[in-house]
Amino acid sequence: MVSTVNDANNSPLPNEDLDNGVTASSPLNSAWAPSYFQPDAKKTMGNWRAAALPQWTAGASVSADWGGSTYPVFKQSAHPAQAAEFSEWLTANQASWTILKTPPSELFPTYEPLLSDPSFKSLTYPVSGSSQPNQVFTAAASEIQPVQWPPFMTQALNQALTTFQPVLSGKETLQQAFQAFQGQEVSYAKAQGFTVSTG
Amino acid sequence: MSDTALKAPRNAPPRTAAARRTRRSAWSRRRDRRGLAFVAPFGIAFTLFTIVPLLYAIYESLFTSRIIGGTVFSGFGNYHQVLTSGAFWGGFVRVIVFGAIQIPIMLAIAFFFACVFDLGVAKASRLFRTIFFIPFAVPIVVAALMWGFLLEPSYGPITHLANAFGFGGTNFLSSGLILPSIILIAIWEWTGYNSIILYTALKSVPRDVVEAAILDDTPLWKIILKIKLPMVRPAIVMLIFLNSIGALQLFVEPEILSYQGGSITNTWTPIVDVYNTSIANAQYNLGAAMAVVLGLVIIVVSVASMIFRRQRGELS
Repeated sequence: MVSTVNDANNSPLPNEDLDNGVTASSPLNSAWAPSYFQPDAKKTMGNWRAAALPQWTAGASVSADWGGSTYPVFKQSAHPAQAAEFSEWLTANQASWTILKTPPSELFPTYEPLLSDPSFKSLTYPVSGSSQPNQVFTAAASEIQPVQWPPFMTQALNQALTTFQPVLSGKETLQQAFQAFQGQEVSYAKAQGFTVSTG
Repeated sequence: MSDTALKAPRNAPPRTAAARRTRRSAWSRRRDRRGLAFVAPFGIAFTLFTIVPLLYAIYESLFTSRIIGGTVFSGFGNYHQVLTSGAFWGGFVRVIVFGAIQIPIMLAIAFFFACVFDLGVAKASRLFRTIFFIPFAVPIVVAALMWGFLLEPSYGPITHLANAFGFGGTNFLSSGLILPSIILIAIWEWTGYNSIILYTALKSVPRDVVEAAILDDTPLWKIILKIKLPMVRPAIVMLIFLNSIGALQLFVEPEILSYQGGSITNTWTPIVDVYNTSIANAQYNLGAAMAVVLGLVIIVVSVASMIFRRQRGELS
């Protein structure tokens, strides 16, 4: 997707507002977001702290994934086996994550040995001073419930942009939009030949 | 007879009428082939990039391809779905509204500037003609990104300007203002181009007609509106039809702006619908049927324009 200046997060102008205290000083964002914010942080460098997400139900510890990438092997690939092996190495290997977790990538790991590694949990970053934000992020990562993604995620995301627009402009409630979205996805799945059971 | 005799030294005239016919037809056959060579580059490109994709789209539109079940022949099933899709025709209504507002405003501005340049009263008119033409040279994607930034709800300079003039909280990209904003962008993009065509048309208005009017003490506005405007009418009619076809195909501006705030739905214009159906939803066959329907509407508009202009004697 094209990234524009209007992206709510992770681009220079909104970051500048965050740095100047123009916008909310406690943004909800992902574990990988600080690496995007850090280059724009000037006045507030070192002052940021990570905290667990606020919960709807007191005492709960619900968390979620935001973003994520996949490294697929395409049918046209001349060396599918090698490509698959590389993809596996890249995402599930201590050596590759040693590279990926450091600048300029600073990806948040999906690799469990690294997530539970005390030396990763205790890392400090210039943007968050002496605090250890990975303590919060790794704890949250362990709370995430496995999600079954639909086999037509591109369609679902594209449809969601249109279906949830009336919520942004205040014309519909989230419940109404989700109901419409459910109907749209069920009828798309049926059109694609799936047998759909709802319940 | 004397004619043949006269030409004899140069042309070595054939002895009989029959021989003359063969010679002439051989010559004209050769000329035809030479002509063919000249149009071949266009013909090949036109066949490869217009005719073949068109036939391919028609072919594709007769099938349905699913994740489960593969590709099956579905006849006019896709067409039935397109013709009964409220969202698809809603997009059509939107581009018609867009064209009905954008085209007259743009042509009025273009005609005004064409007249200013034609009168020769403006200093450095060649420079200004170029400046007005520049937006046309800017790729539409770049123009849409640029305007998207200018109109951006939190950081856009035009939004700041609107706030400064007391229109606080104006969001030019909200669902209520996005159509006017795109009309504004399209006017900016296309006025210079239309103005150059009208300027050229104005240049071909015979000078003696205008001189006669000046000698008769006709006021300037009357010369422009009663003499020049009717004489460039064919150019205006042509531009109305060309711009209408362009409006029906509105795509790049809404597509680019759809990444800013989401007030562009995935069926906002017919082509936006075709794009989302084919690419995001991976329903290539349904998208092809939409494209064919849109193509048919454009063919109807084009033929109507030809008939209209031919009846008026503006097209031979």
